[in-house]
Amino acid sequence: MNSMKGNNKEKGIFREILNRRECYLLILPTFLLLLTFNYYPAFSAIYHSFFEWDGANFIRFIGFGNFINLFKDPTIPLSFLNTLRLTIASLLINLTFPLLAASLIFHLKNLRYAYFYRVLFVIPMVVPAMVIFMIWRFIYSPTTGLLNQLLRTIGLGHLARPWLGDFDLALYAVIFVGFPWVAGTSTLIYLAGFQNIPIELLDAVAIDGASTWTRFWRIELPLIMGQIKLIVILTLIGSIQGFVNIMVMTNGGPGEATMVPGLYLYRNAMYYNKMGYACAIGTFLFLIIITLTYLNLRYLKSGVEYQA
Amino acid sequence: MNYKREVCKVIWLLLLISLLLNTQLGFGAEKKVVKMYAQALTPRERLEADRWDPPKYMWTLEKEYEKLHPDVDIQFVPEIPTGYEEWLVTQMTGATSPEIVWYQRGYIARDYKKGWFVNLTPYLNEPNPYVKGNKKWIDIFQPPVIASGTAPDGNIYMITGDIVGTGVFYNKDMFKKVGVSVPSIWSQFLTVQKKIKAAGYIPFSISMDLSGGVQLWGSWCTRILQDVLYDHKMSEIKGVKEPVKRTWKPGENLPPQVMVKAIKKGTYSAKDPEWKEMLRILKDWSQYWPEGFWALPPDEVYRLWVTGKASMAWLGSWMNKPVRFDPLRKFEWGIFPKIPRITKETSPYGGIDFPAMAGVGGVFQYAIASSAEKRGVLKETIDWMRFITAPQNLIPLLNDHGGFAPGTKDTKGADPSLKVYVDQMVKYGTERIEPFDSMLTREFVDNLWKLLQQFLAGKIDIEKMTDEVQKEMVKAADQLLAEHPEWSK
Repeated sequence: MNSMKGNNKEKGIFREILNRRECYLLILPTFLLLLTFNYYPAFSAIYHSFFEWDGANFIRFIGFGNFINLFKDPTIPLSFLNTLRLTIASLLINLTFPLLAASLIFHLKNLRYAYFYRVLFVIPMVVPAMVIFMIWRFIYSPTTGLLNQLLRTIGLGHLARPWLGDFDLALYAVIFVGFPWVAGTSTLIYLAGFQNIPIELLDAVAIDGASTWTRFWRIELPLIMGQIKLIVILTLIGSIQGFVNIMVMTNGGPGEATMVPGLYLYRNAMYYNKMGYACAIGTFLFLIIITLTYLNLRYLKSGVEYQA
Repeated sequence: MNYKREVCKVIWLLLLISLLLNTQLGFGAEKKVVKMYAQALTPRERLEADRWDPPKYMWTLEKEYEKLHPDVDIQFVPEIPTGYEEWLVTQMTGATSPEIVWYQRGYIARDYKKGWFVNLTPYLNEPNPYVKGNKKWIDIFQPPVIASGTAPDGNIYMITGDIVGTGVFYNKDMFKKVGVSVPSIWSQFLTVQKKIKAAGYIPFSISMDLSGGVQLWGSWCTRILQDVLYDHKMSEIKGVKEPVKRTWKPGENLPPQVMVKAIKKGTYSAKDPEWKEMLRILKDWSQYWPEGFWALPPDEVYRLWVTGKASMAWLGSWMNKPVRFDPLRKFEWGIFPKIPRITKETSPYGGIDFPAMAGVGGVFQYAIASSAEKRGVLKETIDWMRFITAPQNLIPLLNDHGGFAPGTKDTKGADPSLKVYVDQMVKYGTERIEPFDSMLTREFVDNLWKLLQQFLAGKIDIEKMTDEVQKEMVKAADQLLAEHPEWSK
């Protein structure tokens, strides 16, 4: 009886799909593209991480060999330490400056000004990140760079240095790119969160005589916790996987002072013909990201979801 | 229902149109497409930001060729300013590359086993129909030029058709102002730089930055220095009794298999006093380089020189035309094509001239992708290559660019201003020892440059540097032996 019920149910699902075939046909290309360009490469990378593979002809199963090498490779701990620094810095930046900017825009009394500033913060997003990195690279140039020129002009020439060539400061110079870090998606996400707070609630807070700080800390912040959670996840993923800024600005140097796992993966895959090893680094990064995302979802509470 | 039928009709119609366009039915379906990545010879229109004319002559050749072969369509892939190697690896792996790709001839030894490129030896032994009376295509080239594309299996995988040279570009006005003249030996070279530095200028513009600087200037410096400092030891490294003379045929003296053997035997080691001497000389010289040279963007090297901030820059024949036309230059300039000699007084291993920092294969070093055969256009691709390598086509093509001398036997009509580089190369030969760029692994080279950067920036001392390099060198030699077991025989 149970199996007959199950069959009927299955038939029901298939019939439903058949009845709505146009809808399914319309979303089919998206599914196919996702499978081809997102899921297949990811699973292929996990599979190939167990092989010694040059990306062309040579392929040999080596079990956990790549993962064992990964733990012996001196560049790996160094690059992960750099990623840890970058991640902490990115989290601190994304959880403060854009939040402050969004809060200030939200509380502007004049709506036209609020709109103006919102547009102002969005405009820089149109510029490709690559261009921004290249511009900052020239800002940091040791001889003709804007930063050193400025320091020399205002009598602080002793502070001028090859910012991206300083073994102790290069990573922080990369972090500083984009200062004051207010233009971008994070500001917009926070702003959307603020705009979702019911005006009645804010009016009630005002009538109760709460200070600006109390209102922000006790009312607004808990209500945008969903956005904060999203920013945390996006920042974690971006910081752990990303390497374009490093590649463009320092290429991991000076020495290995700014090397990150993403760039090391890329070099192994593209330059050293060690595709299998690169896949193992990728798989390791995937495991870290999925663990951190789980922890974030599990332990960072979303706060109150207001229902109108 | 009618609405649905109409929608279906439109979809079918669109599908049919796209199918027609894709298969090019009625739009010259018979044409065979040959795509070429011509690197710096890629033709393009002048942009507002250009300070000199870009090359265009490929378009002339394309038109002439297509007139002769209306069934062939030659297409040029736009120039890729950065990340070319990554692009190439991806294209090759996916078998989607253009039929003709630019390729560093030295990397053939590393990549020929991957099956990416067509073995050109049989085609080179056939006549080139575009050269009158030619019986074998290979005969139109100067032998060292075409032989430079030979892989360790003895086959030629590259068509190399030009000669490139480097030299020290200097600011004549600044030299006059400071009261110095072109030095002829190393100690004078350093004195000149000392005076220029005292006058408030950057003496020598150079970059050891990891995004292109150290790969170029680090490589040049170490190659010429090693050739001189190891001169007395060349025969021992090669494992022969007779002296190893300089030639200008790349890889002739110490090919990868010889270097690997020498490293394993210990006749060539980073712990050698000659290696340490090289590092000492470089470190000493680096006091005259721009501040923070290990983080200086490579483009800045030329800019510092052309804007009059730096006195000298080690550039190449490819900059001949730009320097002539660059509106940023406001001074008289000259070239001394060789770095001044290191004498015995400067170093116990000195005493001979540096080799010419020149070589075969600059812009004209192309390989043909194996995918050309699968796409059924190999015959047309080879024919196009024969057409553009014919001297009557190659020479105007290279003249139009202005930075490379032809590598053909017939050089009639070649730009005379480039003769200085070729003469230097023929007279002094090129470096015999090239353990870095193309002889060992890319991983080794990357690690070497990172270490050199740290050493020159004062972060590690000479012992640490040579210990680490030696470790990396042995690792690379082991890897190459595993990939080429026949080398251990």
